[in-house]
Amino acid sequence: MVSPTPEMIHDQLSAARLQLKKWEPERWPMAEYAQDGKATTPSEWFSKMFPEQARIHGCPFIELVEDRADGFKRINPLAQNLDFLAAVLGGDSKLGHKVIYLEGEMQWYYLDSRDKLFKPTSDEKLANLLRALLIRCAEELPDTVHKLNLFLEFRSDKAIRAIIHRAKSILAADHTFFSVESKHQRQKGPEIHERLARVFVEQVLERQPGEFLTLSNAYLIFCEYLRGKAMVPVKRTVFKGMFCPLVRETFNVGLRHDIINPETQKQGDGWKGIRALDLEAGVLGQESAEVA
Amino acid sequence: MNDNPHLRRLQQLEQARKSWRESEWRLGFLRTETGTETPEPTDEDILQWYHRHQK
Repeated sequence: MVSPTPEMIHDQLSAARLQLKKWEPERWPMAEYAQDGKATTPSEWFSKMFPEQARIHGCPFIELVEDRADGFKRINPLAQNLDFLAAVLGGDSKLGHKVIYLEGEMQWYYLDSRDKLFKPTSDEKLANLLRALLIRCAEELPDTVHKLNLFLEFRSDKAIRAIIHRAKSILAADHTFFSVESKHQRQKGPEIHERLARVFVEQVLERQPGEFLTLSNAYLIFCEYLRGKAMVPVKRTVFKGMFCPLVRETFNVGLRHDIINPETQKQGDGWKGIRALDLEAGVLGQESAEVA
Repeated sequence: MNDNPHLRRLQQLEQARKSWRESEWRLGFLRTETGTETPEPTDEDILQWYHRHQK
């Protein structure tokens, strides 16, 4: 085997370069009547399809361009721009699409053009969309593009997880996004309360030996929690039905019927070894007032 | 641009259907199957949808 000489290495390096090249539409006067040009690199393909995201977040991929002896160029996408791909998940406004991540609920929503309502979706579903776009890009590009990274590396669970994680900050929305004053509407249903109840159990309740939480108290705190998110409180019976299994699932503690309320000295439903954080003091005061 | 209104409508409808198919393809990944069947949109629905978003 012959070791490469400095001249050979120089020739190889001079024939290859890195590029950040987005799609550029035709600018000549009659361009609007011309056949729509085709993208020839992964960056061109994505930035043509998502020009707004490319304008804000930059080129989709860094690509290695090699000039070949036959005069053709060989394009190899080396690494993806996470911010660009995360923004792509936000949807194409020209199609009326929009995807947001509601931070308070740790939940994704997409706008369904059929009924103009935001509906919940998941990390996994967004990952499926991203993988489908990447493979479509690989399929539609000519053979002068190396497709291994598009097919395998960029579609790996690890790479997709990183993009979804980044998208949570880029596409973040706060609780006012669906507030009463907002123009955005989401699909209403018990699942929203149930999802909030799950977050509530995870964030507001904690295991504390010696403490107890009455069902009445938990209900009042949850209603307060919902009001804080501009949502209508649920009925107590609905709350009990969805809350008890969640507490059992999270803390492995069942509902008891022998919890003494210190305010009223009456026996009632509740949980031992569980307490509520943050909202506890204020709501306990309300409960006492109501009992009085 | 074509001056014949029928041909122009046909061209717009073709473009609108293409965009609608693309939209449905992408949304299909985000949707969850439900028990209720969604009726197919009419040509008029698709054209209205297209004009609303292509401004």
